[in-house]
This record gives sequence, structure tokens and C-alpha cells, in this order.
Amino acid sequence: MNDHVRSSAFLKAEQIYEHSARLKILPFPSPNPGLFATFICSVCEKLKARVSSPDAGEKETSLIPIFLVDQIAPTLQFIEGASSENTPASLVVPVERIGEEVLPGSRFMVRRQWRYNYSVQELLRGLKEDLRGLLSEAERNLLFKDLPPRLFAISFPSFERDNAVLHVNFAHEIAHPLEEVYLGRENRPAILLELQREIQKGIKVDDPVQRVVEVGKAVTDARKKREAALMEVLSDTISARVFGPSALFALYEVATLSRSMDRISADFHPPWRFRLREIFSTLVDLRFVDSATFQLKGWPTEIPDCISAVKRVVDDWLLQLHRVVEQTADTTEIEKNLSDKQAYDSARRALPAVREFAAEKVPQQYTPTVFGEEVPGLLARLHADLPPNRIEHGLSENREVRLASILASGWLFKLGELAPVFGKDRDAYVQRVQTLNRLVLKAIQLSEIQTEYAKRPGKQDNGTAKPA
Amino acid sequence: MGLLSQREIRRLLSKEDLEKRLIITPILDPKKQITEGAVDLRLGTTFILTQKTAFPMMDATQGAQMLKEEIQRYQFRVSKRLHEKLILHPQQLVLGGTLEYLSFPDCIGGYVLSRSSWGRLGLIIATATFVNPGFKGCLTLELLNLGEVPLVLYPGVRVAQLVLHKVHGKPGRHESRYRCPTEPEFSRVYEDEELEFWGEPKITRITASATFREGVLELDTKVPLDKGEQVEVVVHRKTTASATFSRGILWLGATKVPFDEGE
Repeated sequence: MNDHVRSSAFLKAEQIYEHSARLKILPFPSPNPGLFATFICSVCEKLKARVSSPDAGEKETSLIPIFLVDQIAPTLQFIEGASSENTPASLVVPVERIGEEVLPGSRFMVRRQWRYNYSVQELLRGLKEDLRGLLSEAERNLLFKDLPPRLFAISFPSFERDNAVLHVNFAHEIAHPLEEVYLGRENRPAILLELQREIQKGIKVDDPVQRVVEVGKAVTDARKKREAALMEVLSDTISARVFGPSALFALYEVATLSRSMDRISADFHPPWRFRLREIFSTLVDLRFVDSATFQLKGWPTEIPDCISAVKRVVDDWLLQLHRVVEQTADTTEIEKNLSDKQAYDSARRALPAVREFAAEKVPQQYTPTVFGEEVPGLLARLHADLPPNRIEHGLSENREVRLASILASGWLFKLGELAPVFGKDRDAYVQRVQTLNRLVLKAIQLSEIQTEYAKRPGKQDNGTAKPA
Repeated sequence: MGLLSQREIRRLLSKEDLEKRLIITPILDPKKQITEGAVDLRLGTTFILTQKTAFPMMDATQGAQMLKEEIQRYQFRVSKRLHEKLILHPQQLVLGGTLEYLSFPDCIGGYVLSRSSWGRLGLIIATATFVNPGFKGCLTLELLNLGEVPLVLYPGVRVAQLVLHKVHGKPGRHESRYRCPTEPEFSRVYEDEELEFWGEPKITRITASATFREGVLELDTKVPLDKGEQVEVVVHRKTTASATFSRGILWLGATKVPFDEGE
């Protein structure tokens, strides 16, 4: 019997090794997926050696195939989904770089998933834990020695691969791992006590035993909803600090796919209207949106007609969105339930601390001033069917632009110039959106290459200015 | 058409109006890239390779839809990171794109040529060399190794030269079948409407009996037709005969038989 288990474990390890080795040679836009594939191959090699060893115990041998199929095999989808063909390849390295700035010491892999969702998942922590019972410490140290302390997979909905501007949502996902740092700083006992006190006042159960049970359940429920609300706001705030108004545009596009704007989801996610309201307010705080007119700020005083037309449509769009967030249907929904109400009352009190934490972890990387300096020129380029990779006025007068400006110009062009085309000619709309996606992805690629080329050793004066 | 000098190229690259400006972006190293009469272009990061084992031959005159599918089966895309090599074997054809995105004003056309330093190693570039006035996008380069040994290429290397000319007379607007491409494009030869005409006539022989019922002639066998194709049906009354589908005409039997709808 033991021989059968051993041979089965050996074969599973061999099969996963072969898959991972095949995936390892796929073209990837960054080194991280290949690094992870090499790690998976090494894990399989070690486990093959372990089950072949005469001193391997029966329990340990029986755990190895379970570990392989439950923990290791599913990771292959991360590698496969991260290939150049499956990802918006030119965006991957800049996104990984943002991730490494927000979470120093971490690395990221961008991969597609078939589920319609943006998400983030830590890949190494669980494996490290589970390998404890299977390999010696020396073997484990050897396995992890070439890997970063933390490796995250950021997933995006597969068919949105080329929808470059929507991937602003990556910044939100990158920020999620910070939530444990924030929650670790909170005075949890005090918060729970406060929730308990408020919930006790509202629970209408006479039986003392039943009352304790009901209060306990409601407090747990409220805590989860409170934390989920704060974490989404934290990530949205960081996304806005990295990408400015694009964070709102990208969030709204995903929000429109939800069945309800006003309900807390079954997995405790806050209502979309609540999130949109908060990010809108963050953009006002960051001075991207005017607090009185709700229009985008930062535009230069003189802009060409084609840009003015875009600005008018976008300002109107923002005004409409402000009307959406002004409505309080989500609050009404929340107040129907005692634990929801307490969760959100408590969350609202904590929001200033969340914003402060976001500011401490991620200094504002994108400002209205930079927006005003770069975006109008990039919009003019998109208007002329050019990639928005650079501000150019001839050979000697050109400069690099921020990734956030490239994406913002893409968003403004889509909302302000292309959206009105939809009502007139749908085929033309689709074709122009596809062209926009291509131009934005090309611009990101060119911008990256220009930056790298400028840093080459022994570089000559190439007539290009440094970024502002 | 006059060849543009370096000074003229630089002047066109610096025009204020985007529509009138010659745009080649990025020019990573203007001093090296802009030479007298030409601009050096670099290799992009995406390539289209041939999958020889998937396909016996390419007949461009077969039906558009079929050809489109065959071309996509015959060729596949590969992306390379910077500093990652692409090996081009002797006699191998690979489609690559320029790293640079170009936008030509209506008054400028161009030709893409191999750089002679690469040509001497056997690398031939751009067999379809003309770039239309008004073109916008990355150019597709046909890379062919005519040398004896495999060549190693990297994204970013300067492999091609763009020679620019002024268009004389009032320029018309060119509508390309490739809109603002940013990568090499698969061939769209199947969009040439007349191509099928020049190919071998397609003859489909069918044997079918038919019944004329309520004004409709019903064949027992389905005849595959392209959308919009006109079919002429000649019926040999009360005859069992073989039928031939030739040049858009379905022939039942060898001779035409007078046929009244009332019969």
C-alpha cells in the first residue's frame, strides 16, 4: 500500500514538474513568472527525492500527493496566465514597479483569470507553511533562497486584456496587502467593545442567553463589514494617489457591472455607491476635482478646441457621477440592519485615519499640476491617432510623461471623445476604442523603452530632455 | 518625387501642427538615426512566425474566410522582451514591426530599405517597401535571412532605413486596410476582392434529384455557396442526371432544358 502511495506521489510530482518546466519557457513580459515556475520545478524535485528516500515516513508520504494536487498544481494557472500573450504585456513591468514601491521587498506577477474580477493573492506564504511538515529546514531555505519575501499574483478579467485604461484597477489590488498593516495599528479591543455596546442597545431579545448569542453574532458580522469597508476605501485611496482621476473612472466601470449599487455583498464588500462617494471625496481632497463645481481641475488656461470638447463632456460626466454619489440609497439600505449600521458608523469614524495611513504609505504620486502639464498634450496626440507616449515639440523639445498621465489621457479620450461616437456609429465606436487601447499600450511600451535607453551606460546626448 | 535631405527631415519633424508634422516616435538617438536622406528605424518587440507543419501550402485565391483562417493558423505571434534574442534562420521569413510609430503628413511618402550593414549579413528587410502619404502606425517589416548562418536579432536594433519623399501635386487621402497598427499585422491579402477570380475555377460536382414544389426548386443535396453568390440553375426536366457546380452555375445534366415555372 505504501509503495502505491509513494509511486503515486512521485508521479504527481513528475507531472507537475513537466508542466511547470513547459510553462517556464513561455515568453513572459517580466522575469517573475519564470522565477516562480523555476521554484515550482524545484519543489517537485525536492518532493520526488523525499518520497524516494527510504526514511520517509508513511504519514509524510501520504501528505505529499495531497499537497501537490491541492497547493502546487493550482499555481500553474498563475504562470500560464502571466505569459506575454495572455497579458497587456507593456503594462506589466510598470505595474510590478508600482507594486514594489507600495510594498517594498515584494514582487508581483500580473496574470489573467477567466472570472470577471480584479484580485490579488499571495503565493509563497501558504506554500512556505505547508512545506514545513514535508521538508527539512535546510531544504526549505534552499528552495526559497532566490525568491523575494513576498510574491503576489494580481489577476485581471481575461477578456479585458487590451482594455488598457481599465487596468488602473491594478493599483487598488496592489494596495490590498497593506490592510493587515493598517488593521494591526488599530485598537481592536476598543473598537469591538464600542461595537458591542452599540449593538447591545439595539438588540431586542429578552432571553439573556439568546441575547448574548445574538449580540456575539452581530458584533462579528459588524466587525467583518467594517473592516471590509475600510480596506476597500484604503485601496481606492491609494489608487487615487497613484493614478488620480483615472482611479474613479476605472472603479465606476467595474461598479456598473454590479447588480446593486447599494447593498453590502455576501462577502462583506461595501456598496459601490459608498466606494464611489469616498473616492470622489478623495479626489476633491487631492485637488483633482473642484469641491464646488465637481469639475476636473488642473487644466491650463488655454487649450485647443478638440481638448475643450473633451473637457466639456468629461465635466458633464463628473457632474452626473456626483449626482449618483449624492444619493443616499446605500445609507438607507445600511440603516435597515443593526450590525450594518454600527459597522458603517464605526467605519466612517475611522476614515480620516485610513486616509492618513494611505498618505503615509504612498505619497501623492500624481498631482493636478502634473496632470495639467501633461494630459492636454497627450490628448492632442490621441486626437491625431498618435500614441500618448511623450510631449514632443520637435526633436530638441520633448520630454517623458508619467504612466498616470498616459492612462488619464486614455480615459479622458474614451469618455470625452469616443463615448459620444457610440450613439452615431457603433462599428466606428468599437474600432476607435480598439485603436485607443493599442495606442495607450504602445505609449506605455515606448515610454518604458525611452526611459531605459536614457539610462544606458556611456549614453550620448540624444536631444531629449529629462522628465519634469 | 524628391528625396528629403536631413535638414528637411528635421524641419518636418519639428512642425507645430500635429497633422502637418512628420512624426517618428520615439527617435531614441536623433544624431545616429537621422542621416542624410533617411531615418534609421528599430526593430519592435512583437514578431509573426510561420508554423510550417500546420499548413501544406498557401493559395491566396481561395475564399476570403477560408484564407483568413488559414493565415491565422499558418502564422503565430511571439513577443520578446528588451535584450531577448530572436534567431532568424537561413531562408526563414519573419514579420516584425518597427519600434517607432510613424505618422506621415499627406505630402510625404516613403520607402523602407534594409540597412546595408545588416544586408551584408544576409538580412533582407521590407519586400513591400512603399509607405503611403498619410500613413499612421508601426510598419510591418518582412525579415528574411538570405545568408548562410542564423542571425541573432534583438528588439531595438536599427535594422531598416526609411527614405522620405515629397509628394508632387495635390495629395489624396490614403485609406489603409491596417488602421493605426502598433504591431506587425497578419497579411490581409484575402481582402482583395478580385483575387478569387484569377485562381483556378472551383468545380463542385454534385448528383442531386430535385422537386419543383410551390414555386421552389428543392435539391436533395445542399450546395455550399458563399454569401451573396449568384447561382444559375438549369434543370433537365424529368431526368436523373449528375450536376456540376461551375463558375457560380449549377448544371444539372449536360444540356439546358426549357423549363416553365408552371410545370
